[in-house]
Amino acid sequence: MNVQKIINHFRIKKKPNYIPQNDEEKVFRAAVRSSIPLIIKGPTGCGKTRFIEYMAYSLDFPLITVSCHEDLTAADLVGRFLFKDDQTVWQDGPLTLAVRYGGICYLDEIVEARKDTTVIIHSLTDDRRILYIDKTGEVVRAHPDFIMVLSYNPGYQSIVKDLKESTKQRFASILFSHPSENIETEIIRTETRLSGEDSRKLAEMGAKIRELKGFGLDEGVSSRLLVYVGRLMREGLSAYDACSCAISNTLTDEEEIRNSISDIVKLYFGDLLEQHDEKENS
Amino acid sequence: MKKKTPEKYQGFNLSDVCWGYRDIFARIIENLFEKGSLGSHRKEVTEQFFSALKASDKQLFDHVLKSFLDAVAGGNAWIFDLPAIFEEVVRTGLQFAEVKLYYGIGYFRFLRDGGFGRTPQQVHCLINGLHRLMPINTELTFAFLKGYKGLFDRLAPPEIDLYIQEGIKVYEENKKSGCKFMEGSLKSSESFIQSLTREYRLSDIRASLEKLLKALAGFRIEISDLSRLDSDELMERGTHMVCLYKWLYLPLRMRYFNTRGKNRSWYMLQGVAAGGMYAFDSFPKIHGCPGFESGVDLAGSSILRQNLFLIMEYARVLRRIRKAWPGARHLIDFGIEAVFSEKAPQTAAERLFMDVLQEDDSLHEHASKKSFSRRLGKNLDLSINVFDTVSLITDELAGETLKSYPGLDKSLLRSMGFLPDFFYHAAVSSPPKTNLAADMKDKAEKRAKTRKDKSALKVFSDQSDTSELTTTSGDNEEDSNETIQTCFVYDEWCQEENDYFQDYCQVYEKRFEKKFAMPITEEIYTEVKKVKKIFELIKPQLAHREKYLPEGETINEDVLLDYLVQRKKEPSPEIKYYEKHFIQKRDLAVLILLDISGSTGEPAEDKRVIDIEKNAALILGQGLAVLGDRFSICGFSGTGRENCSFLIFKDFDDPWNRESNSRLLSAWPMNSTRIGAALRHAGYKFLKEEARQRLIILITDGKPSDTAYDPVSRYAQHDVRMACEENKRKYIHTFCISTQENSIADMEIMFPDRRFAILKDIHQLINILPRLYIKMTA
Repeated sequence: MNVQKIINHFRIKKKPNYIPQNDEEKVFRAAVRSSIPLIIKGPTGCGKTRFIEYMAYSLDFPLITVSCHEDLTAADLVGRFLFKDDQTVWQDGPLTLAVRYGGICYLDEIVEARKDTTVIIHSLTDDRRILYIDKTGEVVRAHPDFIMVLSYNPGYQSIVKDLKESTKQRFASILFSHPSENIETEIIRTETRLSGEDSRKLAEMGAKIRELKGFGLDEGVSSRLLVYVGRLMREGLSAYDACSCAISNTLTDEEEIRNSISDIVKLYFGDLLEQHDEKENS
Repeated sequence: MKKKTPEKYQGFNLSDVCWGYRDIFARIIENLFEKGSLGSHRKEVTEQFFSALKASDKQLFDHVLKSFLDAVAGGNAWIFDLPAIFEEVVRTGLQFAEVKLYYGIGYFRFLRDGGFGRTPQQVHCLINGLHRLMPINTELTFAFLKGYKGLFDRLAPPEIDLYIQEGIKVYEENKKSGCKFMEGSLKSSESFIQSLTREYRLSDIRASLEKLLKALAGFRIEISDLSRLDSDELMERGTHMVCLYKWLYLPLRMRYFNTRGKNRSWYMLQGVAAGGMYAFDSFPKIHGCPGFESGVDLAGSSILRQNLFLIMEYARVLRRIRKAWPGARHLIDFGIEAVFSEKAPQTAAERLFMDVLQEDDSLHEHASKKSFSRRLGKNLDLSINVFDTVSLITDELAGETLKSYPGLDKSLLRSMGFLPDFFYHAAVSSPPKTNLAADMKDKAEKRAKTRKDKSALKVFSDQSDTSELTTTSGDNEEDSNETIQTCFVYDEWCQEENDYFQDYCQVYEKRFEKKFAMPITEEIYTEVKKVKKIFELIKPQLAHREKYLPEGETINEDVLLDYLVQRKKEPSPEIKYYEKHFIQKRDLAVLILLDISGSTGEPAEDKRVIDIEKNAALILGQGLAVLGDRFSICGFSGTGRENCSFLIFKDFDDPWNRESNSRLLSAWPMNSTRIGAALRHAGYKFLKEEARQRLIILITDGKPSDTAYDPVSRYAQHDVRMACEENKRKYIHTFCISTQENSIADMEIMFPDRRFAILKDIHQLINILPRLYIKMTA
């Protein structure tokens, strides 16, 4: 297949629903103009990936995403020789594709990758902006539209899973956090088409549950999960059941903390009194 | 002819039993061996069994032992599966028999007849109760044993504890009644059991309420028992709830309602009300801070103003709760109904309170009151905090209210059980460092000014109210500024309370200073060499290339050539000419935790225990260094919960060299053995280690012992168990090597995964430690 055709597959066709939280769009555009790579930091489900999709769409850049894991090798990023029709053929990896033809190379959860793998991006993320492919002996100069974006969640990473200083200091960073209640209400409303009141209640409830972080919960409830609740509600599930499935049961396996989340859910969508009498009768 | 006693009887001689019982004893014992209840596979239980039977040489003990055999031969064979419980049951029975044979016989008869309960937990609860009562009076203890059959199905262990407590109280007043109470033959026993079954205790709900409050208020609020406060003042005022800056005081138990669920709901209501008070910036948020020791400081001394302050602030918060948390509406209705069910609102204050709470106008009796209370309610909905509410209490409002509710200046609103007492006089020991009250006041003043500017009463939209009213993040910032202590503070588990003692142990971590290092003997050098050699053999090859893969990083040319040749012979040979680079490493970190308590200074033949421990750690350390596993060597000791020491000889990042060796060899016996705290801190040390497998090897020469430990309840053992469970949740395994000071029963309690070894001779440690390590990790 024509390489240009392949790269076009990576373009975002439909405008993603994204509600800006701060001036992240402005920063991103400035970074692209100045060829500065970016790190997006933020908790799980706060909209990091959605933001990148939105920016890719706005800038009309292809978005090549690699989900990093500990077995990811440099070859998985750069490319490898394949054997085809009695001959070895070089196949560009996702990184090389983005470098060669331009676009956003988005390495999701970068700290999950091994440190020896991540050093490969060093020459691309400083002024040189080149990629040396040792297996073919080729030096690829980055396309003017190439931009490297990394993401990770500093909240749950252990201190040993941090980026090397030499890697970290090649990037500008955008910090994401859970959206404010008003923005989150809007996100839930637009993503799920729930009523404004229900969306607000979900957002307020999410903020209360986040207070339990470090108090039995490792991570607060994400906007993504709140959106899931909204979608389940739209499909006819009661608000309490939807919250139980998408929030209480997902966030924790410990009964005590699950009950605490249920109490909060009941404050907004259930009845605390009913619960206890029912329990007793059963 | 005298029968020869088999060897498996472990020294118990049937001829010591009176002749009439010999055949019966032999038959039952053989039967137990046949069923597998006894035997070499149950070494510890069998030993305990025969050591109990050996009591037969005491005069007339045969009858007791006959009851014992009848009991274990019947439907109670399951207790052989639980060595710890078996040991306790037998030991306690013999203790009873020592006092009176009748008690001993009765004890085992109750066991036979199922009077000990059906589950290990029930048996354990009985034994605990007996141990608690035994020092008071044996007759009382026996009475409890008699009555236990009627308790274990109806009451949970904590409730049985309360029953015992009540029984002791009755016994202290009248000995005979106390015994009858314990037997369950008094009418008051039954009514007490009934009250216990409907009772809900603060301890049952404290953790849930604390979490709920954290979520609603945004900062941590400690919940305590109301009886900790000055009881005279509380009784005088009929207070059931005090809510101070970061502290909530609730009754220890609730048995007002006839069902447990309703009593629980009452606690939940108090929790939600307190959450609302904090979330919506009411008086409890500053109650007890300097200048706000009581609500009188804001309301003034006149009853009229105090009533207005209470009613308006209560109503404001309850109205906000209803609006923001619809799930709490029925709960609030339940609370109000409970307060006014027996006595309808009579005083002017009560009527005003009810009227302001009603949002449905049709419920108001009189038109003038209706319009007044509605106006008041709307005004309260505009109020953003307690200072704002206070600013609404003008002379004009007071006069108008008094006109609508004559008598409002006569008596104070009676205490509402589910709402905090604002007028309780309190001063908190650690008030907020930021000017919380001033900020709230400032906000209220700004709001009042805006209101004045707008001049007319205008209902604000819910949205704008909410955004202003729920700003509670200020306290969190303040929390983070609190001084960080230099020591590590850990909770400690109390089995009897079935709860943690919060922030109970202080562990001081320090690097051990090398002083006078013990010399290394030739024997140890030889052992080191041997261990190094063995460990060298099991050391994995670090890096290799995996060939013959269907996909991989690169193509292996030789295999590709084979493939091409193969393709000439067959149409589609299997593709496996890729290769991939693999790094194989032992992903393991180990922390060797040495008990360096005072007892390790005792000699074991030619050496002190601590010297053997140090040598063993040194030898294993040499092996680990060869193997490349990350390791740390630490020691622990201390005096009391506030002074636990955690000493580092070699940290994970330290090199294993002369310096760290010297630190280890300089260790000297110190004080007590508080294992739980040390294990928790060891678990914390592992947090920085990324290894996939993490192991603590605990080496101890004795039982956990420290000041304030209760050996009877095995407090320390249960705490160690809980510390192991906590570490297990962090994927840290604990393995213990102990001397025979700890019985298997103790070790089973402490190390629930049975990861332990008991050494007959501490000298074995040097040889056994490396072997065990290889076995565990290879």
